[in-house]
Amino acid sequence: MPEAEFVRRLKAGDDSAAEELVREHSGWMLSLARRYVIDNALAEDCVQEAFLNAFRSIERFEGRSKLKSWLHRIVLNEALKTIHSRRRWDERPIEDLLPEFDKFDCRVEGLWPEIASPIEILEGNQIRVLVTEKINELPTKYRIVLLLRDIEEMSTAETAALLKITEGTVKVRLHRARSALRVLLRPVIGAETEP
Amino acid sequence: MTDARLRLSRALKWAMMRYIPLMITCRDFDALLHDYVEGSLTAGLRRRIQIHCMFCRECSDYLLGYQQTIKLEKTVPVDDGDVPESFVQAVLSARRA
Repeated sequence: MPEAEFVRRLKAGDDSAAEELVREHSGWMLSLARRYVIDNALAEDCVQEAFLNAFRSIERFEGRSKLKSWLHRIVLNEALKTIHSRRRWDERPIEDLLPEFDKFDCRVEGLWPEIASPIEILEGNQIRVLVTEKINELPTKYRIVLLLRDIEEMSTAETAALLKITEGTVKVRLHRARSALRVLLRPVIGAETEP
Repeated sequence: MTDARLRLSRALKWAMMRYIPLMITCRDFDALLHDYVEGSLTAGLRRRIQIHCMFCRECSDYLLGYQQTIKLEKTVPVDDGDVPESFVQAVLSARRA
């Protein structure tokens, strides 16, 4: 069925279209919300609220974007709202994970383990899970920027607008998040590549 | 690497940073890294990063790890996963409420 026709049924309050929407989109929406709020129950709350928002505002959906893109933005906003309202304060300071320099501004750093390619490493499902876990260990404000920029592939300007911070802050947080993740991933990759 | 060799290697690097034209410090390198990876540095600054990498094993290695970290995070799958029927029913009944 063409999307325009499906949207018309949703606007008309068609129950079967509503059910179809929930069944078709819940999977990726839950997965998206879980990436941000981490907790499964919170992710379900976010997605439920996102669907209710979508049903309430479907009248205003003009079809300028795909329905999925529209839902994506709604669930993302819900997840960010949840994070802001439940900010965790027991996080590890990111400074512990940032590069160190000596008094001559020279880098003091252990070497990166030799690996064939990240893709080969990711062939093991266990590593995929570990990478996700390591991303989840980042302090929230850095993790969110990393997810928006590197996973959602939003631009610096879009990320700044969504989070209501400056583009400069987005760049600094992204750089710190990547640097910290690099430190967190090093032992994982090292352990995985040992003969 | 022994402590003595490590100290010698750092002293050499420090001397290179001071006397090689266009050389930047590791701290400056770090400050430019985000824009370098994003491809938004000017040609001149990009050249400085490349020159620094030629002489600094730590930063060259750091850049490799940084780029591989980005590749690793980007390939983490966005799986759909199973949706519990109870969740679907909860959404639909909340809609009707």
